[in-house]
Amino acid sequence: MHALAMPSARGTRAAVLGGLLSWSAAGGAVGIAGRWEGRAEIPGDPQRVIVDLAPGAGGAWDGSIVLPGRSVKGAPLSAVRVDDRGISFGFAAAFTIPIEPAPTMALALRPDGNLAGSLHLAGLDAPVELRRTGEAQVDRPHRSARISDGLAGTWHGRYEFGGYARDVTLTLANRPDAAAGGQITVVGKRTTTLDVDLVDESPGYVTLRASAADYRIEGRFDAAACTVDGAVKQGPFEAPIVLHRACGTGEKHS
Amino acid sequence: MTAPKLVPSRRDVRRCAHGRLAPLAAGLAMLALPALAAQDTFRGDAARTGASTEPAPAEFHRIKWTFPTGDRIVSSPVWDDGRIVFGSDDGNVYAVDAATGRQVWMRHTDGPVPSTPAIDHGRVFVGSYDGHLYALDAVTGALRWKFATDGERRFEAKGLHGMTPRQQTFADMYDVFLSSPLVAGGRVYFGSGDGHVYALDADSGALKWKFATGDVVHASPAYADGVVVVGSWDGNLYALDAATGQSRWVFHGGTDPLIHNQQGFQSSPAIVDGTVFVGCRDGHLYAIDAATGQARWSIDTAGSWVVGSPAVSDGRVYFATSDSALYQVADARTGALLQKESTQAYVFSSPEVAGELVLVGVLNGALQARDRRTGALRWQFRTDAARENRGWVLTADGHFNSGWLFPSSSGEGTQASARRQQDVGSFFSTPLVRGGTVYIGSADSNLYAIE
Repeated sequence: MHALAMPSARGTRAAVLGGLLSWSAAGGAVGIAGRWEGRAEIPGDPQRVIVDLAPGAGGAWDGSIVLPGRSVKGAPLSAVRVDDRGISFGFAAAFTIPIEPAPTMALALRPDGNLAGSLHLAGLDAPVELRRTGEAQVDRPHRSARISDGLAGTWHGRYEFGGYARDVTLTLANRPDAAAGGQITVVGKRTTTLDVDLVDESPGYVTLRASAADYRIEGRFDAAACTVDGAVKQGPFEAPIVLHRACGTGEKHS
Repeated sequence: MTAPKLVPSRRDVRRCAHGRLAPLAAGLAMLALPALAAQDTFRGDAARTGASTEPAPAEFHRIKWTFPTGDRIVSSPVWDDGRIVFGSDDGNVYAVDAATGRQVWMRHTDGPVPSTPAIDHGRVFVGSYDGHLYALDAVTGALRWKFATDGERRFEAKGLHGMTPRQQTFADMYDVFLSSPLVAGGRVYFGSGDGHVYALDADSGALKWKFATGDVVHASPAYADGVVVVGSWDGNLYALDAATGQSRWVFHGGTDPLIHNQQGFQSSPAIVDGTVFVGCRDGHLYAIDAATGQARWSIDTAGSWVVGSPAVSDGRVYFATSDSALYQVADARTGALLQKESTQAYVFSSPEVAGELVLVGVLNGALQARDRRTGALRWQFRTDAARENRGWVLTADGHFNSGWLFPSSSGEGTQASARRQQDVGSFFSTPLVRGGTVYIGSADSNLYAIE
């Protein structure tokens, strides 16, 4: 068994040495990339932590976090900073109820190749140690893609919440960056306008999201009938809606 | 399944005539199954046989990879052209590259996904606790359509399992699965917490028919010869005409009006050679004539639930029990017991026949590989959480430490303790074997690839 174990031990040492060299040569930039797994030693309730880190565009870093048992898979990291001392990032997006002060982690690469440091959350601290287990698998936020001509344009519909009618006007367009976006105006007792930050169109189905208000419209998209037949959702509330528009008024692109 | 002392005495359990029928010798000869299933649905095929010619590894070598999700995995993995597709209680449906363990796509739903997906013609069909049946593109995960039922809920009853206060209605903490859809003849069949069995057009999601049962339907339907067979928490097993939804026959399992512990079909049937094999929470495994609904034989498990779905192969039925923690093998024609081995802890996962081995996931965080001929344990994989055994969930020899975990019959305490049992990485999920690798989800939130 020694014969099998030896190369593995050598490999581990080489990886640690390689990691340190790359850390030193590039400010830690190369050695920090990857999937890191370990545990935050929260008293009485240790929490598994999986962090994915990869170099992004323009010298920035992309990252996401998995917290098993908390229904957190691939929540984006924020303010990822890598320097000679280590790495720090925020992960407020992992939580549906805001936590103050916002949760962060600060970790340093140790000589054994592990990342060690602290998780800071709600004014509390817990030790964290993470081990690199492979290549980064960063979950990137779902983004809008270009929408079809039949979907772009202005739509109208009505739904009821709590016995009151709400009139909806929805405008959708392809932006110069080719990602679709738009606005939803809801007129009830008062008028609310929301930015649509996600448009997800698949053949026959469309989902629109205004994340700031946790507001969503989704349904079957019938281009021929010029309808979106589905539901409005906001938090736990859901109401049916049919959006219409005059046929033949969709955006045209040459 | 409950804390000790909560299981009712046998006289509390009233069974209908079907449940008391003595074993019948009649039946068709059980032939060896070809088992060439695509493994793209729960239990491998529409008849839910749970038998595969894909051999499991003869011994445990290593964990090939793990894929962490955000919550426990109850759903079972299925195969789709090199991808492993499954749901997680974190609300997502995943497709993972079988070779590398890297995510191909992820689709979020608005509820846990303890349903096992079915793949058909480039689509993934799966149910969510948000009360919808989803149809996704199998390559990209894009939403094709979704169908709204009247909403999901767990089975619930007053004083359930003997929990107190007796007049309190408790949701069943052991109602962990959602019905796994079945695709046959261009239709998708599944059960719902709203008490209905649904048939939808697979292309459009349009409702073809729905059939009302008396309670939650979280068991998964099986299909053979134009008939859909599915059990309900109302204690009945229904055979429905796949085309019309009309009832062909109803088999009545046991009832337990006192504490509702010994009733309901959580197990999904396997249909082989004209016989329906199904477990029941009334403490029986039943073999039922698929044409008439008459019992051919039954095996009394002494009050232990048969939650997992039986596997049927080579004229044998493989099944396992909860409280008695037994892996058992019976003659499919006569019901005669051929093997009985301890699994140490409750089994909710369904035994999977894989070559010369039978794989059994156990709630103590162990995946057991047993010799198909003898029942002997060939190898066992345990999760890290099972080995750590935080909070002494398990005894030193791997049984649940029930006396420690369940100090009283208080409903709130019992439900919290039942959840703690899963801290050891319980295997509710049923293993998939493909290309010499075993894939299985765990309550520790990992999907494991083992070879």
